[in-house]
Amino acid sequence: MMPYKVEFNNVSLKYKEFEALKNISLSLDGGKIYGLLGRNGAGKTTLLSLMAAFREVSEGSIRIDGEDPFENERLMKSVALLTDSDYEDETEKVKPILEMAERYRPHFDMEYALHLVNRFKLPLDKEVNELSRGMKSALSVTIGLASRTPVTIFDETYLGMDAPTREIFYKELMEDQEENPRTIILSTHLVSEMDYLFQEVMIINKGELVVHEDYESLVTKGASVTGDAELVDAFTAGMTKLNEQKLGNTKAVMVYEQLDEREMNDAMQKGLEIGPVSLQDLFIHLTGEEE
Amino acid sequence: MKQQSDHLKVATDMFFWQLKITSWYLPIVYIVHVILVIISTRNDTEWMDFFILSHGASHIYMLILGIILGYSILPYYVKNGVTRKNFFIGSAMATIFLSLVIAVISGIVNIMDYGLWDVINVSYMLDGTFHDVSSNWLYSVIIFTTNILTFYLIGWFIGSGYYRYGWIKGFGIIAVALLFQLIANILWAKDVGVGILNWIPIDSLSLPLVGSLLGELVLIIIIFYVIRVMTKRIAVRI
Repeated sequence: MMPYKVEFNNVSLKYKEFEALKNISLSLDGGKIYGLLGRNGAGKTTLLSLMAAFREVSEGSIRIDGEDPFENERLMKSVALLTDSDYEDETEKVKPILEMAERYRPHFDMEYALHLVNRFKLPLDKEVNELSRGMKSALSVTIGLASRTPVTIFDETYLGMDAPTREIFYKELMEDQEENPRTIILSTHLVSEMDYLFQEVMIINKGELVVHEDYESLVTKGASVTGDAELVDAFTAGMTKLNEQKLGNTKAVMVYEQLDEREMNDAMQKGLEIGPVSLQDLFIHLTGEEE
Repeated sequence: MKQQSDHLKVATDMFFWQLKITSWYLPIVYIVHVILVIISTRNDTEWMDFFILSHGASHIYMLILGIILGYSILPYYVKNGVTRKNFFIGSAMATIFLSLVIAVISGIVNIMDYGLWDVINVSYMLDGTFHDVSSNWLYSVIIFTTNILTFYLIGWFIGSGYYRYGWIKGFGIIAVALLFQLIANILWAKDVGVGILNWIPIDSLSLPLVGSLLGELVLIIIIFYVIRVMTKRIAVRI
């Protein structure tokens, strides 16, 4: 199966007066794991709702596998959006819920779903609304993975899970993606523990897409420069600074800049220390309030 | 393997889901009926027969089912990748069929019920006057079906309206729903009843049966249309 390409062209969405998404354009080639990062209220869920045809764009257009997904039978079957808040009033048990997904999702694999049920130790005989929050999340994740939809979106689905359960999810996700590659989007603000999953990263802030890059090239774009305050200031003059910290005469500056070889050598000669910046740090400082 | 199309899947699922609930509802109505017959027999008063009791009770029952469908089932299906259109068509099919099934079951149980009282020798006084068509079972079933279908649709309209517009504007939805109900009552020459509505120049129309039926069919089509327009591009919240 060819991966489904996802394209947003100048998409904006307004809720009454509030502009939730501002002129977003992006293109995902598909077949990879994408991380969508943003703070609470940044517009992540809104963006994903549009992809899954839960709502319609008010401006711009969306194309998935070349077509508008809204009310598109083929694409609505092919795009699944899973959250962790779906089962508050659900009095059915786990099995019927899985059967419902099997009935409406053409690529659903029940055998794999039951394997995941087993892995997450989901009780089959309990009503879903009686499950703990972590178990509800595990059910969502199970449905999302077993549906094998060409575009599968997890919108903070894993928030309710405890750390060991999340580990199981990451592992299963990697394994299944290896065998059945599709377009997977993971939205989260748990950046540090998930960053190794992402092949590409999108960061949105206040409704705007601020970053869309390959994971590798994104993290090499950041650098921390530490050393004598004056030298550091001179070295980083003109660069995009994300953060500065000063302790006595020593200063650490985080820059959003790809340093070339000449700059690296220059830093070394001046006795400055150049270190990497984690995705978590980039995320925090790219979306933090600039005061 | 050719997949069954989504609207047929929805129709089947919605029908059997509601039939399951109905398999609780109808026996309860029947138990209430038996209790009421026993009381009325003791007091030597006349009481309505099962068909008429079920007809009255099913208005409320269908209204509630419709509200649930409109408010919480549509989002559930959209989240499972079903288009709003397929959900609408499938649910409409299920609803029409469910109304018919409830009417037919009520009719059959009614006949058996008369037989039962005869067999166990209870002298009952049951009023079986149903829209003046009691002798014509086909008409009775059709009218029963359209009457409760109308109420289901009013419920569906309210449920979708609340989902889409929220609580404040929802009051406007209730007002329109009351208007639909008023029209249905006028069509069937029922006492409009509510004092505020006395300014309406017509208390009830004295339409011939076919007129009432056609009128109700038009009303049904209108409500279906309004629901479709309202839910065609409805946003599903998460």
